[in-house]
Amino acid sequence: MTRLSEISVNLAANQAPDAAPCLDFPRLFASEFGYVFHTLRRLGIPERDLPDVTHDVFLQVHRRVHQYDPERPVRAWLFGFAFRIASRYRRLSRNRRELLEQAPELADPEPSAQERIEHHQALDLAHQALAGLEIQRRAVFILHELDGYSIPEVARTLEVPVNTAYSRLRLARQDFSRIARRLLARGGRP
Amino acid sequence: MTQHRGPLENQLVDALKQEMQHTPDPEVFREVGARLGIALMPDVSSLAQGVSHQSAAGAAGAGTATSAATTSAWFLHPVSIFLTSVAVGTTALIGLAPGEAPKAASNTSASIATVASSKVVHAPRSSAPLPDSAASEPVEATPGPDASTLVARTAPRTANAAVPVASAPTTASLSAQQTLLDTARRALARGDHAAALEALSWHRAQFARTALAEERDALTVKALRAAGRSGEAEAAAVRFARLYPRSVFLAGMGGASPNP
Repeated sequence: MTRLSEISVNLAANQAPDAAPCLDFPRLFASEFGYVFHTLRRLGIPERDLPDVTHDVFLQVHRRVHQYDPERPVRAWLFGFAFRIASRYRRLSRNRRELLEQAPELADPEPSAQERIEHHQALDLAHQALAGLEIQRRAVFILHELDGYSIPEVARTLEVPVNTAYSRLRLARQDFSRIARRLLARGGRP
Repeated sequence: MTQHRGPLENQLVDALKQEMQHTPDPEVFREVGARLGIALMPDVSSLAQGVSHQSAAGAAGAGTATSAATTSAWFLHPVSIFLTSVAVGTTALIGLAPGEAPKAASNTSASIATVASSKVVHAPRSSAPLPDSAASEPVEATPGPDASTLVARTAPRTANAAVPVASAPTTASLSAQQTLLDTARRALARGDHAAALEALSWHRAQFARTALAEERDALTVKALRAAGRSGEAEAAAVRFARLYPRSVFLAGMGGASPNP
């Protein structure tokens, strides 16, 4: 018998993706809250709405949890929910004429920790570069470059042809690099 | 396809990957969990019994609870994420089919507990489609049906997705409910009618009979109208007027009458 005490819960999303594809809903929530939360931030949900939108994602997941295909990586499956809801959020935000592509407000680091300051600056720059990516390209970039999924899995998650996913990845990489260098030239750090 | 990343790109990608390892604000985690009726408790061992039962029963999508996950710091400090009010008068039963409840009754220290639960039903509780089409889903606006009836009518059984239904409001329950209604209100404010209706539907399923039902149903009318679902909105408004003829919310509802 597998005991839960041996399983642990990955609240910080700090393990390899899909190590715990357990779809008991409360446990799924506990183990993947961090992943969903950070993914939504990467998809451009502003800090103030992250709790509500994360909640919305898990409500949708709850409805569909029985449809999960165990053959699929659980995080890729969750990403699909996050991406759809983030896309809807963006459409509505656009209607409200709000500025969409701001890098998320990151928590201040400890002032005395130089390394953390540098990390914070790099993260800030990374988020700004990410925010500059067109949303479809950004999704491919996140899934492949950050979450480590193969392009066929990315294509399946986003329901696009594999060649389209490859193309978006190539463009996303170019855009990410170009935007980051432009921001750097403007005085961003590092 | 090979594209080499430069040092800058590597640094930025690494920073984003590292961020994923950071625990989000525990307070946010706890608060969102409470809205979903989930709270974490310190002892994780007893729930393993429940997991085992589920797997043995062939529960949907289960049976893969094997992981060498790193133990989270939150479990090292479980008190910080435990909703203390949950422990009062609460029997924590999660992930167990009704017939299994007696077996689980001794698991009073289940690691994942439910807020203010004295009854377990199985969800999902309504037949919402995928997110993008959620707005077209009819919303049951009649307040007060027994939650288990609601579930039996609308939900496929999923033994893994047990969530509580409150029958006796507690402070924790009311707080969770209010937070849920606030969530719906904020979603409405930003024009996300689907999310608002989703939150209201969830509230209805979890807390069918509650002091906050009137507020919820008034919000439902508002959300349906905002979503352009005027027929459903007016029907819900009429039902509302019938159920709450003296409600202060009627003034803002514009013409709802119990006898149209």
